[in-house]
Amino acid sequence: MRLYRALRALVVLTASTARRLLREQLVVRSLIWPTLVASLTLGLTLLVMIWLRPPWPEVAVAPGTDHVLVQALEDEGFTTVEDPDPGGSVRSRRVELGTDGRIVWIVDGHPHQSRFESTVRAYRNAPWRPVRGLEVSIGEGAIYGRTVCRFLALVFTLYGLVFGLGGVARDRDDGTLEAELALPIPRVVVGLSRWLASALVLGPAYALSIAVFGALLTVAEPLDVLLHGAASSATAAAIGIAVVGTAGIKQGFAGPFAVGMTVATGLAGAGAALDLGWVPIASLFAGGSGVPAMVLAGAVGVVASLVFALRAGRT
Amino acid sequence: MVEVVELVKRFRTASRGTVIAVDRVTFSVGAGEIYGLLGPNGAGKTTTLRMLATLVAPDDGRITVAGIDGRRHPLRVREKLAYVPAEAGLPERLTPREAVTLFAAVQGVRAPAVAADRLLETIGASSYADAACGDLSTGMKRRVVLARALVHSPSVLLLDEPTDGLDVPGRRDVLALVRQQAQEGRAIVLSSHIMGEIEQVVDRLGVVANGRLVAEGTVGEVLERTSASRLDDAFLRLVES
Repeated sequence: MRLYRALRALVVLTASTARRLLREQLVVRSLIWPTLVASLTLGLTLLVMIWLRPPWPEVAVAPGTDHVLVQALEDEGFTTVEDPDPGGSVRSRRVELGTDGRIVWIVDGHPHQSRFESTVRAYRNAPWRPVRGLEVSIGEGAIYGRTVCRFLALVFTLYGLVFGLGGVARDRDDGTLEAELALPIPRVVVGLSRWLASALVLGPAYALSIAVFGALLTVAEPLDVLLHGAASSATAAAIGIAVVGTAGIKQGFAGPFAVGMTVATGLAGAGAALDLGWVPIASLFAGGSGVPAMVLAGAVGVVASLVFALRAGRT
Repeated sequence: MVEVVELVKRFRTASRGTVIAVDRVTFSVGAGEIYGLLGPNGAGKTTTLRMLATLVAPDDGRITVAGIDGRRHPLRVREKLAYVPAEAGLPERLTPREAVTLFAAVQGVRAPAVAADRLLETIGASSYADAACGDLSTGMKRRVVLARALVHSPSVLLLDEPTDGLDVPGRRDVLALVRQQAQEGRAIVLSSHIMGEIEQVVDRLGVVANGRLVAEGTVGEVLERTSASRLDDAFLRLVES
């Protein structure tokens, strides 16, 4: 009977806490930073590209070149300059593009190479020579995707810590926690419900973030990426619940937060140094299957709830 | 209904060393009785109530609620009582209906939503049952908190500063509710530092100072013992002596 009551309380309290987290729009807020960072990165990249883009180039054209081609080039934005030896001028880099109406000379890698060649080919009615399709390596994209997902997972780890620690501290200050602790249920249920709610809210939010970035970048092995990130945020929430002790927002919040940050960053560092793929947070830098990290995150959540119960008072 | 015997609680602090918050406090409260704990700030009233609610473990002494040993069976004791802390204790993003339904469900009340609605109506809070708790006035919150506390029909009601922050009408309404609960047979322990409130509502009171119960009895008995005509004077004499 008591077990049934405790389980029912766990479900009800978890649902209620998750509802509160959702209504506080913490999920939306949790997505703000990744979105801001991504937008800023894209914006800055565009600015740099615009800044670095060379001016519209001159094209050396041989005397006697058909005026139709010259006009077509100028219509495309090129500036034409009559040159008795366009090939020689390109080779000597006096200009970067040149043509006599039959041949094109191009400094390799020129940003307007394709447009220039296309214009001349259109004039000559010369189709592009069919070549074997370029193999697009996903390796490089996957590295970027993994880096972005790691960054996102670290952000969500921080959110986990804030959800776990801040949620308890705030509720202690306004009396909500005390009212819950006075209910006839083991205190571990109160801690466990908070941890579960945090994990249930953060996991899907992280999945959504990965989906958004996955549309832009290749995310290799997305399920493992998701499990590693979800395990990290859930573990961070557990750390927050375990270390919060008797702190409230008004007093002593900074100390437990510093402890939580130290543990979380310590785990991240250990993962980078020791390749601990099965330890949540550390696994972000180790990779491999995300299942062991997720299982361990669950165990950490239970242990953290027990620590919370012991520190909150007698069960 | 409630029996407290030689209750002791010590706290260790960094600046003051070991502080005795509650020092051998003894009192009892019967069914249908309102017992007031009167004392200045820091006298140990809240700590005593929190020990009764099994939120804090006493260092020594005995607590019995409805015949159940509070130190040995805290969960069973919590089934019998409701504790209303001085802070509102309402999640800002939940509505009163949700907050009361939540506690009803956890307490194992049948048809928790129906029970919550009925209680909110009884207590006069149905008009704002679907507003966010964070948008309610202090008086409205107090009503909701009381509804939440009463949802499982507890035998014992522990109220910490129940009228703190309320205006005069709000205070009158809450005290009327408290009296009504006592008439329904509940044992009520409330703490306060407001003399008028204590005089109005309690059947007996205990004056607490520096963690110790320095006087106990009806208002008349306390006045007689201190040879004072007003409870304020009696309180000051007891506390300052």
